Amino acid sequence: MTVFKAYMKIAKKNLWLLFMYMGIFFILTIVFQGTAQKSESEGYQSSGAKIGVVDGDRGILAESLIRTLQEKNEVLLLSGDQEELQESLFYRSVDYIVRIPKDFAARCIEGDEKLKVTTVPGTFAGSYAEQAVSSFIYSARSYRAAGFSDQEIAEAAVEQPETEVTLMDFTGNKGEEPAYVYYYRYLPFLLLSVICYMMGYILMGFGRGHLPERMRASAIPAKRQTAEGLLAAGVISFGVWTMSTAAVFLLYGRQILAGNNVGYYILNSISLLAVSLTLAYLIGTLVKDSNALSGIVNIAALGMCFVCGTFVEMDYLSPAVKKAAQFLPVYWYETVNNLLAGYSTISGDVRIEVLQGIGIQLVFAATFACVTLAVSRKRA
Amino acid sequence: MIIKIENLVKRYGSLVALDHLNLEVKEGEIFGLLGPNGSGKTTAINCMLALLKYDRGSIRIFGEEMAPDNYRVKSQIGVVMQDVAVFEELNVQDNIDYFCGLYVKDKNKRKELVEEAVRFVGLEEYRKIYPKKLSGGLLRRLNIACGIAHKPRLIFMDEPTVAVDPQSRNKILEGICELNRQGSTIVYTSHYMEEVEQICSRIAIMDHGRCIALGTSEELKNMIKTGETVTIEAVILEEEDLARIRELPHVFDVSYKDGTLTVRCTGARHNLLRILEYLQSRKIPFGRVFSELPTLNDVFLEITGKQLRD
Ligand SMILES: Nc1ncnc2c1ncn2[C@@H]1O[C@H](COP(=O)(O)OP(=O)(O)OP(=O)(O)O)[C@@H](O)[C@H]1O
Ligand SMILES: [Mg+2]
Repeated sequence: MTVFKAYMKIAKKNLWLLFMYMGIFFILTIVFQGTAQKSESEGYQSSGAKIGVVDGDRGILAESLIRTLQEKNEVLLLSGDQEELQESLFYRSVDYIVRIPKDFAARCIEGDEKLKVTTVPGTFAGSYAEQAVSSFIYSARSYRAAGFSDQEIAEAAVEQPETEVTLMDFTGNKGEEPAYVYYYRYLPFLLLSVICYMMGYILMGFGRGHLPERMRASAIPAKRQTAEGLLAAGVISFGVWTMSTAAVFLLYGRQILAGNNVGYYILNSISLLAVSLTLAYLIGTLVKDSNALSGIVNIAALGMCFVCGTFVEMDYLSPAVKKAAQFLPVYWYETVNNLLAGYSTISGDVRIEVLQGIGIQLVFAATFACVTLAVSRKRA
Repeated sequence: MIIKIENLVKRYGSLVALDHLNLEVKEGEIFGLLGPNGSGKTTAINCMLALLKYDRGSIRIFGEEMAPDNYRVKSQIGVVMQDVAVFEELNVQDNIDYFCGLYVKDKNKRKELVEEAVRFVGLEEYRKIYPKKLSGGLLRRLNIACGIAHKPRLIFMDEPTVAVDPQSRNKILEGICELNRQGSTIVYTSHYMEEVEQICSRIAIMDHGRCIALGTSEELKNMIKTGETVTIEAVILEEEDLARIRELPHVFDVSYKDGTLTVRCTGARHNLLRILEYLQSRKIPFGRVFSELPTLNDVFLEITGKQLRD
């Protein structure tokens, strides 16, 4: 097990790196989680939801709907210009947009056409606004069925006894995301940086100068050398993964076990691990000195974390960045992560989406592995 | 016969690096491969180690066909590569232990061997130092220690003393002889003829991928005409004088360049005296005077018409 032991010995030299990144990582998680939760909870108490309304009807019923919404929420009247709508969603000046079509009464109250809405997915404000709108529509429909005129409906709706609004509580945390969601969101930063650097460093060492030839001249069969190397890589990366997973359970074990998605979180982080390890092999084969290594690892790890929704929440990413990020594995990791944060139980379409995200990550890992193989074959 | 190479041909594209090379190395000898840069020494060694595919010929080591997967043979071989091949990430001791571990599984045995190798190359004070912090010469010594720690039956050393100061070089050469005394057969390449002469029991002189002469250093020198080379500095000579010197007994080659007269003679006696007598009789002033017995350079020069080293 000489080769295996050498991997371990070299890895041990970089153990400080693991601890340093773990440290940075925890500080990051705690700080971000703290500020995010604060702003979210404050936002909720002061102003309910921020609802944008495009009034294409301007009739008496439309006005009544707007007034109803205004009672509990901040309502912003919008012109209906596509760009303005996108911007206001992007900058979060509204969480939810309702479009009231022309002939609102005829189409939506008498007919059963649905109102066109746009919302930021997974936000609690959106679902709150949705309830307010549909509650208005349903009561208006029943008044109409009872033979009320528009005017009467409008008056009745505004005077309407306060309906008890039950918030749909997606996460079981009163609209706040639990801390471990943040932990898992930032995990790519930890896994990518540490594994790519540690493994890249070892592989770079083994590939340096005439060492590969020296190894080929030795008494240990080539296949065995490869096998020992892979075993060591497995042990090292699994070790890092175990530590990071142990940490999340240590810190937030009770919360995470109370949810239903533990298994998916673990599955997702394992596919991220596969991505990190194969990427490490690719980098380790291409890079020749340790300065270049840390440069490339930083670019790869930090870069992906910035454009794939790790450091910047995916909702804030511009559409162009989001589109480009689909060609990066971390995007899919974070997509799965967001789904897991947004749904307390995973089933049906969401389940398919989650598994797809995990599958795509594995495809990325396989691609990295193949490219690495091709590169080293070409060199031999 | 520990190594037997027959008609080995290795081409790099149109360049013929080894041209029908034939060599035999006997158990227990220090076999020297002497040749100028690019003569094919490293290529020959890499073929013997099965690191390179070759176009024709055969290589047998310990009586077995050498092949990339002949690990039985490989396990008895030690390699000191021309380009230092050690781990920058491991310190001196760990490096030696690693390479030794490629051959010796037993931990305690290995510990002894590593210790012995450290002392052998004189790196006792540098055990915990990383290769990056070693000077060129110390690094070479580490490279050697990594190749020989497991006490192999056959050792290939490809120019192990390049860039090593004369003192360390002597230490290394002594060490190589010691390894040989302990039972290892050694194939040693170099373009330093003095080294090869000093330690090798037999020498193959290579040029353009061929072995152009083979034998002990005595045998090689006896192959050529030159018995003594006389060099005399700072003389002012006319064409006529050169012609007269050329007519002296045993003289077969006279050259005169930059105020230095070089006379090559067959036989090794009384040549200097005769030349000096001539110069005195003609009242020609002269400065320093040298007389040299033939070197391997003379052998190379006579066979190829060029100097081994420029
Ligand atoms: N990988 C290669 N590709 C193409 N040509 C090569 C390659 N390796 C060696 N050569 C050529 O083969 C010839 C023999 O090279 P080799 O390295 O065996 O010489 P050498 O005797 O070891 O020289 P040196 O004393 O400089 O180490 C040289 O002309 C060299 O340019
Ligand atoms: Mg060479």
